[in-house]
Parts: sequence; structure tokens; C-alpha cells
Amino acid sequence: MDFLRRYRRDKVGAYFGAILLLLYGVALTAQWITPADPMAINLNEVFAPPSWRHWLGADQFGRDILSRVILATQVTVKITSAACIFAVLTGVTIGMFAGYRGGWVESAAMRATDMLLIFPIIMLAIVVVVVAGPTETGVIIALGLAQAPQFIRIARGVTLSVKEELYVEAAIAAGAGRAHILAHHIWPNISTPIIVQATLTLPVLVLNASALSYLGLGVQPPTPEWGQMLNEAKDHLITAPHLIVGPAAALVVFVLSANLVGDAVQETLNPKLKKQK
Amino acid sequence: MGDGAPLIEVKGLKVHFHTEDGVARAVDGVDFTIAPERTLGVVGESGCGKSVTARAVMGLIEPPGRIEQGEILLHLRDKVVDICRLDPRGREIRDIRGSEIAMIFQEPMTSLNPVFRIGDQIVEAILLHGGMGRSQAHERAIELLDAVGIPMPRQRFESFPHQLSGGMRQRAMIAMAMSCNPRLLIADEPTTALDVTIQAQVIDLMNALRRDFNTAIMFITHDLGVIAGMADDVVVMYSGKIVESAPVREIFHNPKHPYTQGLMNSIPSLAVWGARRLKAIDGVVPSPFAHQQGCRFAPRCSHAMEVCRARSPELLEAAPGHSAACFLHQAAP
Repeated sequence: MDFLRRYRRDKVGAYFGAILLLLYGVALTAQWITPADPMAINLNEVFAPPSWRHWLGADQFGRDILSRVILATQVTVKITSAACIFAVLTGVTIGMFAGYRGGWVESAAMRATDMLLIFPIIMLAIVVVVVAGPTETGVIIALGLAQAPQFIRIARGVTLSVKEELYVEAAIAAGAGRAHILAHHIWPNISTPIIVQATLTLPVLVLNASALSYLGLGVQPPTPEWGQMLNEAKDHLITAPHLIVGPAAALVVFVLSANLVGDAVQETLNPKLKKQK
Repeated sequence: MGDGAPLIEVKGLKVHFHTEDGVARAVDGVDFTIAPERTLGVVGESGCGKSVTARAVMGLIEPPGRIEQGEILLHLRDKVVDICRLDPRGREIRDIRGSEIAMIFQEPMTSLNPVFRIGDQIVEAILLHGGMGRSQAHERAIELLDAVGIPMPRQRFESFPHQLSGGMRQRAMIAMAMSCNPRLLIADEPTTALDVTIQAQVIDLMNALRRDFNTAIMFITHDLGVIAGMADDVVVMYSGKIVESAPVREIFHNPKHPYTQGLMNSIPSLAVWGARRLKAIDGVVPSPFAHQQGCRFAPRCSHAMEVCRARSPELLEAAPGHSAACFLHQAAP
């Protein structure tokens, strides 16, 4: 609760946090709040301009764009949240274990991590999607794997410094095993930097998810996704420019709020950083 | 348990550290025994191998350190185990740590985890060795906090380590160490980081706990005053070896080894009449990397003889119950 109280002092973080929460609310309730069926094709309303019936107009198949943007929010939130959890779980597990175990296990894990970092994130994701297939699971693994090295490095770094603490040796002297020490002494020290990194990673994941589907490697039609909607809209940019507004605006608002919330969380959890500014 | 059966026997223990600069012989052939409910004081200056010996007894030697030789025999209720032979990460040693042998450290500031309440840390220590539910362990932790003289134990249970003073933290550490009724408590310079008045309180506390819990104590320190107030028996270590071993009165009244005599002379005297200049021992402790022939103390010893530089003296009985590793007290063959 102390966290919330301190977080609220940051006005920008508070407002954009509210927007982000609203977007997550939209994502969770997407099925029930779409004004029209996002999949229903209506050839009478192809490229219909914005009106009271279609707030953001209709696309090349006469589908309601607002409804598609709303459903796409759900798809994006689902994919990016899952990818984020995947990255945190694999990253923290590998990083903590490698850091605590040391020796050749650590060297092997860290060199493998360096190799992952050599590739540009989108490149890596494309390779994984090509191997795993352009399904939701494939995209989640691709995005998560591309971000995992960040978490491996953070978890390992903190583990390395904490495992030398006297209270860890005291715990070993009290008969604690490796699992107990990792869970009770190492993890509490890792959780804060991991939470910060996770919130900062979220907008990157959203952008990458959209980029993949823009390239046709993400979620496949007819399921809507912002990147894929943008790709379709660009073909009709001259004849029907309103197609691009909905998905683009949604993407900007989501990424911007996630970014600002990430910064605010970091400043709240790391007050030292703020003073340096 | 009768007088004859020791609690722990250390025989010919050698712990070497294999570093890039060579082999450091931190502990180079150490023998001692601790009987149940006795307190063994281990004295020596920094770097003489006291702490490494203690860690070896806990099975806490980590690479590059290695136990080269020797046995550490722990007499359990139904069997004898050699701690040197146990897997340092295995189940068996973990069952011994905390429940048979517990340890408290020099730095009470850093040996408690700063992110947990002290009560919860004691509860965790109790739960590690099973046999109790969480609420029962909670009550036991409060009893222990009370037993180590922490006022208002119920409130202090909720305190974080940074809210306690150094002395209180050391008391909390002792409570944690005593939580499973260990038969041996290893105290690695527990009073060094404390104020003198707090030191005295902690020593009184440990003496009281020893009676109440029937625990043997291996007390490591470089403070001879503390040894005088705590120990039954004393071993004096120098450069990885034991140079003298005797009951506490003997050590203070009749030190045999020139090094021990030097230590005694370097205690400041409070006498108003006949106060004298402090006599320091000349020279420094030899590097653990140096491989030196003969007695390691010979270069600093004012009594050094020809034989001292040629051969290393063994720890032999010089008087009943009193051994010294010095040719002055041995008929040179």
C-alpha cells in the first residue's frame, strides 16, 4: 500500500497508469463491449467513413474498425502479457540458478545468453516464428525468448552479489538447502529490479508483437491485430485514409502509457535514481 | 554421556586453498577434541586459521579451499560421522548444520537478512529442521527471544534487523543458533564487533545459555580477556597449527610456548604500581603461502635454537593435560 501512495505522487505516472488500466479493462471485456461483430463482413459498407454507426469507419470488407481495434487490444494484451511472464520465468530461473551454482554451468548459460543478444530482437523473433509457426504460442515464445536475456542478466547479477552476503552463509550454517536459499534470501532481492524491468519491457513487447504481425508473422487473419490492421490499411492509404487511425492511435496510446508507467514504477521503487536527475 | 566420550574430535586437519598465487596452507595439521558441555577457546591472531577450522567443522569449506587430510568426527547419539567425508551440499550435512552444530558470526550487522523480520528468520530456522508447525514455531521463537534477554520479545519479533542495535542483533543471532538445541555452538568472534559493555553482556548470556541448553561451545577470538571469562580449555593457534593446548587456568598462569607467553605479555596491565611498557611480539605472521622448514614461530622467537629451524616440533604433553609444540619442553632427541 505504501507503494501505491508513493506512486500516486507522480502525476504523469498516475494518469497514464489509469489509461493503461482502462486498456486492460477493455482487453478483458472485449467480447462484450464491441459495438458490432468484429468479424462480420458487410459488402454494402466497404470503406464506409466514420459515422454514428461506425465510429472509426469500416474496412475493405465492411467490418467495423472500432470493434476490431477493441478485439485487437485483447489479442495484444494476451500475447504480450504471456510473453512477459515467459521471459521473466525463464530469465529469472536460469539467471538465479546460473549465478548461484557458478562454475561451468554459469559460463555456459551466460555465453548462450550473449549469443541470443547478438541477434536483433526482431530477427530472433522471426526465426522462432518460422520454426514454431505463426500461431499465438509461437509468437509468445518468440517475443519472450528475445527478452529473456535481460532478465537472465539481472537475476544473475543480483544473485552473484547476494550469495556472498554473510546471511546466506549463516543460512547454510543453519542447514538450509539450495532451494531454500534461492527462495528466501536471493529472490526477495531480485524481485524489485525484475518488476521494474518487466514494466519497461512491456511496451517493447507490444511494439514487437505489432511489428511481427505487420510482417505477416504474427497472429493470422481474420483475428485482428494492430500491426496487421496497419499493414492492410497501408494498401488503401489514398482511397480510405481513416483505416489507419484506429489501430495506430491504439498502438501509440498503449505503448506511451506502458512506457511512462514503467518509468514511474522505476522511480517509485528506486528513489535514488530520481535524485540523480 | 560420560567423561570419556567426546562430542567432536578433529584429527590431523589440513585445509589448503589452491589459488593462482600458490597453495595457502590455512590450516596445517590441527588436532583437538571438545567434550560435551565444555567450552573450547580458540585463540590466535588474524590469519592463523581459526575461522577456517570453524568452517571446516561446519562443512563450509568452498573451492578454492579443500580439506586435504584429516578427520572431523562428530559423535551423534547412535553413530560417529566424519564431516570431511560428507557431501557439503548433501542431506546429511544439512541435517547436522543447525540442529547438531550451529554457528554465529562476527558481524551481527550482516548475518541477518535485512528484508525479513527477525522473528520470521528464527521461525525459518526452526522450520528447517522440522518437527513443528508454523504457529508452534512462532511461539518457540518468542520464547527464544525472551531467553536471550531481548526485552518485549513479542514486539521485537516484528522488528527488522536495522531497527535493532548490534548487541540486540547478536542476541537474535544467538536465539536463531539455539533454536534447535544444538549440541555444539561455534562462535566465530561473536563479540569482536561489539562495544565492551555489550561484549560482557553477550558473554554472560552465552555462559547462561550453555548451562540451560547443555551446549558445548567452540569460541573463537583473538581477545584473551574474553577467553578468560568463557573457556574451560584453550588452544592457541599460530600459522595454521596449534602451538599450545591446556585448561584455561594453566594457559594464563603457566604458559609454556613462547608465543603464548608473548600473547600474555601483550595484555595491558591495570596495575598502578609496577606498570610496565607493553611488550609486543616482534615480526609478523608468516604468509600462509610460505613453505618454511622447522617451527613456524622460530623467526620471531627469542628462545629459538638450532633444532627449531631444522624440524617442526610436535604437539606433545609438557605437563598433565597441558601440551605445547615447542622443543623447550621436549627432550630433543
